[in-house]
Amino acid sequence: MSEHTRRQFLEVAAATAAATAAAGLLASPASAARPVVAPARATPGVPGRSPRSPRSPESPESPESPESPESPLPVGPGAPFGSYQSEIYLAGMTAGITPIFTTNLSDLEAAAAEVLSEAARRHLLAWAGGAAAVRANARALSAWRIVPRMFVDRAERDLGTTVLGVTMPAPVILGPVGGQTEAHPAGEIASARAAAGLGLTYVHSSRASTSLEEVAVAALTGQRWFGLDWPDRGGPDPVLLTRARVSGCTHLVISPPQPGQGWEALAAIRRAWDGPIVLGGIQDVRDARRAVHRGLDGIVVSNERGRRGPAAAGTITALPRIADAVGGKLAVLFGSGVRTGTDTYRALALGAEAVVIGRPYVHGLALGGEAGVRHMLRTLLAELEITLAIAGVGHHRDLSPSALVRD
Amino acid sequence: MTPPVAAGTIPGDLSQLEAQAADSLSPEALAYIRAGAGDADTTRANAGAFRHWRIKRHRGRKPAEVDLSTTILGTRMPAPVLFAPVGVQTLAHPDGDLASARAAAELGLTYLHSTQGAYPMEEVAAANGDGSRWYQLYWPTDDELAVSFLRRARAAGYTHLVITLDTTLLGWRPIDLDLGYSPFLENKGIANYTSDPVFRRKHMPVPAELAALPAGIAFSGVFQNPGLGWQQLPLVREHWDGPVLLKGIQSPRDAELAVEHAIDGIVVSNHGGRQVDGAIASLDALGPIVQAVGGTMPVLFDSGIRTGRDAFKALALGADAVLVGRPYLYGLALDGQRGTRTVMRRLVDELEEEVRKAGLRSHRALSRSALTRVR
Ligand SMILES: Cc1cc2nc3c(=O)[nH]c(=O)nc-3n(C[C@H](O)[C@H](O)[C@H](O)COP(=O)(O)O)c2cc1C
Repeated sequence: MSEHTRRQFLEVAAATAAATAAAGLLASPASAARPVVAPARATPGVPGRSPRSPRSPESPESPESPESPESPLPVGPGAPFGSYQSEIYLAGMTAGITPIFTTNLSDLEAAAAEVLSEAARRHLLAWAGGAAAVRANARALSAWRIVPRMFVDRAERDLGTTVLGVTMPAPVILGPVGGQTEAHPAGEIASARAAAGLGLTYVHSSRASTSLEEVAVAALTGQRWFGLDWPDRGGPDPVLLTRARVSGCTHLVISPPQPGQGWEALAAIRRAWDGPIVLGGIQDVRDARRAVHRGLDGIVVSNERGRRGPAAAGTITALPRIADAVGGKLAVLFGSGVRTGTDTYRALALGAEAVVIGRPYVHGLALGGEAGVRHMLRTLLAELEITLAIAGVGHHRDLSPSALVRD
Repeated sequence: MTPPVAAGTIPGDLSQLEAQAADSLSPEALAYIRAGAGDADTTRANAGAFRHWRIKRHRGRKPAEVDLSTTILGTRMPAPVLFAPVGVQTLAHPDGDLASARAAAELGLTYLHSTQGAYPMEEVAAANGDGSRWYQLYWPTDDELAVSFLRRARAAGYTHLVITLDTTLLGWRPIDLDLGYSPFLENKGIANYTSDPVFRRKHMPVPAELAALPAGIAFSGVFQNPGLGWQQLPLVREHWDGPVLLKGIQSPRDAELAVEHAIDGIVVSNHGGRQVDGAIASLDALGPIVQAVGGTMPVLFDSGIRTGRDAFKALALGADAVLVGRPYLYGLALDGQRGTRTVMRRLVDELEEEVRKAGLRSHRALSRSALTRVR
């Protein structure tokens, strides 16, 4: 047996073992290498199945594979995210185990609607700028079409990047969403742990239903940032910022000033926070330039919490111009309407250094707690990585608007 | 062309084929055949792009006779329609590609055998008899295996080589993933591998008949090949002396590169939307590519063709011939070899009628002026 084949064997054996274990281990604590699939739940139209193969899974300790009692399966930070695809197929074909919920992230909102309370749905929708903005964002994103290139050596697949000094395995950040226990009892703890397990950065909202400290303890190894509302006249709460820093948050993400609030508070925030500061809700070049002048370190192009703006046109429409104007002077992130790996691809091509996702992971949370968030994230990352490879993109840094055409 | 269209199981309106065939397929088989990448947005866009073009009404005289025959890179065809390379056809019918290859021979149309075929290329060649057949290569990571495929294909009478470039990895296909279903892991669609001496010697630990899963895994190991690049072309030239086409081209720049590398022809295709979600419709890619190529090589087209009218539009936009994928599979599912034959025959008949209605004696006289753009 060739070395290659042998490795393949080990991988399937490990995946099979992992998949089988997952069936019984749903309630156990998470670890980075935790199995990725869980027994199928009553997802509409996707019934679980019994195993198709009565054969018992090959053991990793078979004579063919003397060494490596540890899982040779590439999971965890740094692994090719696309391997999630073979994991799912192997789990399905060897143990009859299907994904915890759909792998079509465009269907996630509808799936989550069946388990979310009306209040939770409204809350999430408001966070994303309201139903009309959500529709506009989706329309605007899907108008950008990928033009795949062929015959480009893409043997090296790496989604890794550095944003504001933080090394990330992929250009994807979990944005600040408050009140997550409304979606699932495990709330923010589950989301932060799922993010940490994959090495992704998690932004803890000041409106969270779980305290900074509890999340820190639950996801100690994870990169965490702190998401703060634009402060009232009294300035930012110094105690809160101290708690954020002490509990390990390295960056501050501020939501934009509401109508009537001036930019003066920024100086006070600067004084109270010595780490990088990212301002959300940027919708046009003027505000982006202002962020540069005020010495901010990064911006999120987004229409969070119903910020008025080119809602009808969709926030993505503003991204290329903003990236052109201020890219290189501060970090440009994109945070409106990203649901899928393809959406991420689009935002990166149009000038974002990373995307900030919100509702998709909360939908994952609602559907499956920590395992649900992890499944959602791994799905997005796998789709992104596979799409980049098939479309002939060397590294996502090489993406430019020319990788897309506008419908 | 003989034989005549069979009435019965195949719907008169070919655009209804998928709905009709759904009942005769297992959920897994239907999912695998229908699947698009992601939210299937590209698959929808493929179909939608045809609706953005209308065929102009021609008021002048209609010819009594229409001649659809053509010659592409030396292959004579009674109509500019080919069987797209489609893997795992046993999902649709136990006879799989054998039935399709026979149907193609009956119609005189060229059959493209996929590396992912459900039967070995020699058996498919035998079924195809003295029909016209081309071989579609998925370039494996093992060059020795690639060379073995080429050698076998040549020996079995495949005259042209079509290298598919858009599937160095399998696309993210939720309807398959949600079912946890992959045909390859149950020893379906890997017959060209498991029958290959190089694969058996180097990659297959146990015969596939005894252990489907290991064979499927060994297959995945050689199949995934994102490192494929232009620099590997000389190997093909060294081991294949016939015409070489590249399938999966969507960008005019890649078409130009194909010309620069002295490729013989291209297939403008996005794999029926199965590989990249949110991509441009293949028909939208066609016009600019035809322009970029400027007549230096034949440009074939696929992805989204369901009817003779669709084929007419692609030809009017500059394709020299079209490939048809899912429709003949649905024909296969509904009525085996006869179903496939009926579908392809009907599509060709529809095309002939459209060309006649356009007042032309041959599709080769078609141009964009036969169409109007609508939005
Ligand atoms: C079930 C299925 C299997 C396929 N297998 C292959 C294949 O093995 N090789 C290949 O080059 N293309 C393959 N294709 C893509 C087709 O050759 C063709 O590009 C596509 O089906 C055209 O789109 P259409 O289905 O809309 O006609 C496959 C398509 C389907 C639906």
